[in-house]
Parts: sequence; structure tokens; C-alpha cells
Amino acid sequence: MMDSGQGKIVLLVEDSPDHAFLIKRAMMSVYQDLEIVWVKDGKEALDFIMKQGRKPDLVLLDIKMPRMNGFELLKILKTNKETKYIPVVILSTSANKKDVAKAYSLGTNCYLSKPVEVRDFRLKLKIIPSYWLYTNLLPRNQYNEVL
Amino acid sequence: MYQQNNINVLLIDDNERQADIIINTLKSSIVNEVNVFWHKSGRTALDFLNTKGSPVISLILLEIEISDSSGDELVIQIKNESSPHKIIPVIIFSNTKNLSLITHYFTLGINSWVRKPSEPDMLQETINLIHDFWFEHVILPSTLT
Repeated sequence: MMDSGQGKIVLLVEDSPDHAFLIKRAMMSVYQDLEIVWVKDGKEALDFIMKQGRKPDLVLLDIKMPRMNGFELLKILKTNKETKYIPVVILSTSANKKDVAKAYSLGTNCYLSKPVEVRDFRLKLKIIPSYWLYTNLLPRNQYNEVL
Repeated sequence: MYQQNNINVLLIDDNERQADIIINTLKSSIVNEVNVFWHKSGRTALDFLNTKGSPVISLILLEIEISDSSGDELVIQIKNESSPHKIIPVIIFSNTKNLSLITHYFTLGINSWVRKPSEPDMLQETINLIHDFWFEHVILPSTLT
């Protein structure tokens, strides 16, 4: 049975069109009403977050990207009082210790590696929204709600 | 799946009956060896973390509604910029589902908030969900040491 992801926005920050396609398709096969907004780098993500009237419920973030990488975006989001509450999940091909340590010290909510096998990757992609949007209770931007 | 194998959980909860279920469920994992260090107060948990030679903690599971109200202080101390424990994931595991409170703690830097069911079977099931996600898929900072 499909679950509904209605009303929830996931901001996918990913420079690889192949990975973005795979991620969107796998997540939406389980949560058909989920709104997944795909942007290709940190700069586009920041534009989306700051200019939209509604903040995303979850940010799914790659690390290695052109213009503004995942670490740079993570640092901005987690030091800005209007965005620091937004859960950020790092999803990267790197399982390098330095990258993992840096991501946690910058405030990522969790760090996942992209499996090489497509089957494993799909499984992980279904687990991410299942945990973050349903098991986990999401915070809300009350500042925007007051406005 | 990303298997962590040896995991140390710091549990802060003053409800003995629920703590018992949480500990037994975590320890029954056949995938990982989970050790649980249980404290009833945030203050003693913080002392434990700050004690030289304490085990490397993989994850903190915190009931925010403990009788001495020390959970708030614990989150502030752990997640402050200069804290040596800042990178340890903190999950608030509480029956409370007050949206203002949830947002407040995410702003303080908690990693996740999971509602703690009072019914034993549901509690066990939720603990298994936490275990599956955090210990089989997430790369925890404790694996870096």
C-alpha cells in the first residue's frame, strides 16, 4: 500500500541527473503525493529556501557539487536562525571519515552513503522518507506561520 | 546496509518500566552488539560523558520530560559550538508531540525527534525502527574513531 506524502516538500540538492532521477522515482513509488523539488547545487537550493514562502520539510543533500557544495550549504542552513531547524540528510557517494566528521560537526541530522548497487540504493531511498517524514516528528517554521 | 556492529547508546529516561523495554529491545539486536548506558538524569549523563575514559557514545536517546527537567540543559551542553560531544546524534524519544517544543529542540541542534508510545508492543516496534535506521543505514560519527 502506498503512503501519502501530501503537503510535504523534500528539497533534493543533487548535481547528478541520473541520481536525481533515481532518488525521485524511488521515493515517489512509496510516497506518491510527496513534493520533491530538485535543484542542482547549493546556490540553487539557497535561492529556493530563502525565496519561497514555505520552507522544505527535509533537505536531501549531496556533498560534491559545483558552485556551492554540500558543506557550504549545510553551514549556511545550520547557522541561520530561520533555517537551522530544517532536518538535513547528507546522501553522498563519499564514506570518507573526514567528510562524515565534517558533516556532523556542521550540524547534519544524519549521514548516509549512496550504495553502489542500484537495488541497495533504491532500498535506502525508500527508508529515508519513511524514517524522516513518518517515524520522526518534523519541526515547523513558526516564524513563517505567524507571518 | 551499513552495519555498525559495536554500538554504545546513552539512554536518559527516568521511567524504569519503559527504560527496561528500550534496553532489552536494543540489546536483542542480532545484527549489532548494542550496549546501553542508562541514566535517569541529564546531569549524571553529562558527568558520564565528561568522565575521562568513558566509552565512545554512538547515539543519545533522550526522554525530555524527566522529573528533574535536566534534559533541556543536557541538549544545550551537548550541542553547543565548543562541546566535544557536539557530533553525537541526539534523538529525543518522548511522548510529547508539542510542535513548538519539537521546533525549539531542532533549532538547538537535536538530530531527530521520535514519539515514544506508552504501549509496550508499540514501544518495542518504534525502538526497532530507530535501530534499523540509525544502526543499519546511517554512518554514525562513532565509527570514525
